Amino acid sequence: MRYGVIMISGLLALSACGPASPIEVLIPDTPAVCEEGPALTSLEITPQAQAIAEQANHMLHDGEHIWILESGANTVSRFRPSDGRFQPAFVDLGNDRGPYDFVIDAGQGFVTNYLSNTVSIYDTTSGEVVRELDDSRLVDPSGVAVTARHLYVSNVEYLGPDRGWGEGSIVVFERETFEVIDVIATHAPNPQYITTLDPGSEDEPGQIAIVSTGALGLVDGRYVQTSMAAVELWTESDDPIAPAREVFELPPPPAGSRVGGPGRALVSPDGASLYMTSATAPVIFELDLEQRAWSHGADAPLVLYEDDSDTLHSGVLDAHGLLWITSFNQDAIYVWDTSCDALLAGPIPVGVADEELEGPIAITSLPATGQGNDSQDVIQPEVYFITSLSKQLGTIEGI
Amino acid sequence: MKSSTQNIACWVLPIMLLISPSNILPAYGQEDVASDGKVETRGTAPDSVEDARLPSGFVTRIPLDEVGPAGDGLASALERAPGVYVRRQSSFGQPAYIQVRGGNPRQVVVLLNGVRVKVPTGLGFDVGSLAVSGLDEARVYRGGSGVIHGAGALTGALELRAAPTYREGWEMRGRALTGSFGTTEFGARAEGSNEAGSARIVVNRRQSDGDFPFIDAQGVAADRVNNGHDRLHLLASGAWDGGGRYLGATVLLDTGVSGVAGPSEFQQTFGEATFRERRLIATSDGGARGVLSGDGWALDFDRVFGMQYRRQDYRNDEAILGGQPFETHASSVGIDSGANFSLYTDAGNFARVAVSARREAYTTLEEIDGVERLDVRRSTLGAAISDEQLLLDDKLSLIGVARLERLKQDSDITFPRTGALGAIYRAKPWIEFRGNFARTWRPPDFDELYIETEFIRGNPELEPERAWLGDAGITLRAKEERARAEIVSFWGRTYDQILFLPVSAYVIEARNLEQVNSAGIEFLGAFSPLARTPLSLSYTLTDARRPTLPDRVPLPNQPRHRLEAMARADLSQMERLFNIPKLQLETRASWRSEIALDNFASQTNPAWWRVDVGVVVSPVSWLRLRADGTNLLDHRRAVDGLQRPLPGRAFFVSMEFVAEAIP
Repeated sequence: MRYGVIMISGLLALSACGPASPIEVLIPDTPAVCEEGPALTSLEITPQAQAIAEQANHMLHDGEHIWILESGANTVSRFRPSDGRFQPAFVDLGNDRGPYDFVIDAGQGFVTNYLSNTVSIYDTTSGEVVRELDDSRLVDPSGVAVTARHLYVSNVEYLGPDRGWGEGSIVVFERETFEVIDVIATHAPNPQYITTLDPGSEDEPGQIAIVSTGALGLVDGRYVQTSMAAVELWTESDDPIAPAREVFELPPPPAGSRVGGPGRALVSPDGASLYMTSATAPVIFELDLEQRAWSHGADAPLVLYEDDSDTLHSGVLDAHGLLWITSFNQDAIYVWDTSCDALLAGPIPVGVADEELEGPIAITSLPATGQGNDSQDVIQPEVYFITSLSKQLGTIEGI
Repeated sequence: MKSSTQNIACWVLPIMLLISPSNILPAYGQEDVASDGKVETRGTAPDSVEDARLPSGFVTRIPLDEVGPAGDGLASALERAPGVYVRRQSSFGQPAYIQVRGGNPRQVVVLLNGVRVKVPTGLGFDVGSLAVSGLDEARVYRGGSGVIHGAGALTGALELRAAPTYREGWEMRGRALTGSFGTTEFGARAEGSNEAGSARIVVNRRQSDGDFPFIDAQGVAADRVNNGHDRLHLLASGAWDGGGRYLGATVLLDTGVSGVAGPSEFQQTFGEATFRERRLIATSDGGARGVLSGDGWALDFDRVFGMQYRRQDYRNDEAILGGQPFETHASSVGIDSGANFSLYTDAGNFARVAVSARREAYTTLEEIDGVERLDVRRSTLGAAISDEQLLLDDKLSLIGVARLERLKQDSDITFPRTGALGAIYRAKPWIEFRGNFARTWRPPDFDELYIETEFIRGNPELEPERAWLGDAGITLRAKEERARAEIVSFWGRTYDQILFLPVSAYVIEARNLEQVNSAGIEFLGAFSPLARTPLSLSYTLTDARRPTLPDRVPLPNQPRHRLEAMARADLSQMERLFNIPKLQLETRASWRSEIALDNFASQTNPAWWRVDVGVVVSPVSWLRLRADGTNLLDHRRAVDGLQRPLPGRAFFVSMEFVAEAIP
């Protein structure tokens, strides 16, 4: 008995050694680099603000919540920045789904399930999956976008390490009934992402951008784009199977180069440009939507930093034209000012371990509060990012 | 960040409380007294034992003849040792791995009758699928005590023993078991002995559907699927003792097929995945006492020799990406031999010289449409010397062990040097103090060096792992072994620990880590508060972490606290109540604290209790009936690894027929 009491005392003494405070990193004020562009206030980075589930791969902000897609757990969690409330597994998509991408529209979330070849539709208020679209024409669904008339889902058709990618395609669903209208082949393989440029209306056609990353493969031990990649702009017409299509190609890089692998299309605040980060090189591609031509294509991309090793980036464009970019292999974030296409800040370290990757994989920016700003020239950002390997939601806040 | 004062407070206070003399168990811990009046040769509780090669080391012996509840074999038995954590992948018959004092399963060498049987590739030696039939005991070498087993035993070693008794007579047993999850087991055993020798043959066949209900991380009830196994286990062993000369041999064949249930969130993708394994091990040991002797000295000799062949085939017809079939095939052949000379002198000196040789060949074949092949061979030659000096009227022993090995792999040759210094102070017959300081070493495993798949890569530039290990403890034994207790504090620094880590978004590669620190406390005790009610208790506190990670982030899959308690009540031949040959009740309670499931402790699994109860009844001397309930609290949320659920409540019943003739 006495031993038990003393042993318990010992254990209590050990349990009293509580957790340490979260790690924070401070970045001093960042001056503007573009004449028309903003500066940044000091930044406080909290790399581990909230643990999330495994293999998170995308996040969205819908004005109230930040939604986090957790592919390894088949879940969507949500976080409310206004009060810090985190709801893990708010949406349970079900086992063996392998969610890849999602979009939120009109109170519903649309999730592409890569492994089950389905699309889950959930209610953003209750978190319940209200419908799961299951059609044999969905083959490794990845990208998803919604317009007033249609739901678009991209098929990447990955056949395996030896066979690579099949012909990519877009499955077009009728928006109200979710009946499949048609399957339209993409110009290049591996159409990973779809972005709604204009949702349109019942009367007005919508517009989407499809990014086909192209086949990726090992060449001399390095991952590179090995086929044609492309960005396609589709403008809806009265005939849903015949949208007006414009194609902007990104050829595979020459030997020794890794430029390629375009990522999700990000629309500039003025709607004049599309920006894409790269899955293989530290570069940014820019497509001029007014000129309908590459401003910075494969031959002249914007260079984020110099590096020849494996890279992977994703980004978000905020209302001030700042492109926030995660660098997976550096545990870092860069800030690119699109007003003059120059690097404003970075690499901003967002990891806590030197000898292990944490893998920032997605990022979202909330509207700057403007606190302490007398002009638009100094931004006090509120940015959230997720790490895929260390399974954390982190924050960058202007102070 | 915590201050150094806080750190000290975190450690010193609990250690002081836990090892203070007032905590010595006050009562009697007994060996089993057989209800039929015969004296059993060993108890069932784990006990600390000495290995003559490093007698100051902390070694725990676990009897395997009656291990825990039915249907939960070697893994369950090993959990009773302090300092040990068994990481389970799933239910009984599925892989489980042993780790010692905050180390990982690769850092534990495994031997059968002194012959190394752990293949230098993969996650470690699988103690979950190996049947214990025919094995008599397991010895867990914790920390520096494993140094006597040479390179590879970085944090410890596990030795399994099939050691036939020399009790004259013969015995035959037949056993059948059935239980939850579609589990059945049939076994037979024949054993005979005379004055000069003994022989034993054991056959065991067990199968299980293995599908059990669990609750996943989202709180959703689900069923584990493709979790079955079907294994055949044959063991034959013999021993001869010719008065000073002795010889033993064991052959073990273990073969079977099992389903490979994938992560719980992705079971369908692994719905048809299978794993086939064949393992054939042959060992021989022998020796002679007093091969040379003179005035005041004597020289003993012993040697071991063994061979093993192992083949593993994995196939999944629907791989997770691309849908192509994925299969791998691996085989390995190993030969291990060793010889020891032990010198005793009247001058209080006990010296031992050992030489050993080992050759391991390993081949793996990966097939994903094309073929990739890995063919590696490693040869190891080693020599060791150990010496124990007895001082202060034999109250004090000073022990030194030095070991030099020559390890050749391809064209690379390395010379790992390991060793230990230890001391024993026998203050009183009932109390002794022991301490050790050791340096250990582990070469990279073959897969850590050379594996080459699209996403996982070995690293030929890896440095070997090195560790400095220290421990100190008190051993208490009451008069006539009526109670015993061991309290040990351990400490370790591992450098260049190898881990497969993501190095980019596309590639996971084996890397050396800068440093891993571990420290903790172990307690092992046994006593009996009432007649014929032995209790045993094992507790381990392990604080293991990487200093390069944020403070308070523990190593994954390593609980900070682990507790095992077992009680047995022997109600046999209580004439007023139960006048039958055997009636025995057992209960076992296991608790572990929360564990981290990933390197950053972002995903965790809460603490949980497991309670098992068993009853053994022998209405007549030739029949033994047993019923067990495991995880009676029906905890269904436990995992030892991310999305690797463990089973909830289960029941097993078995009957055993015994025929024997003992003079």
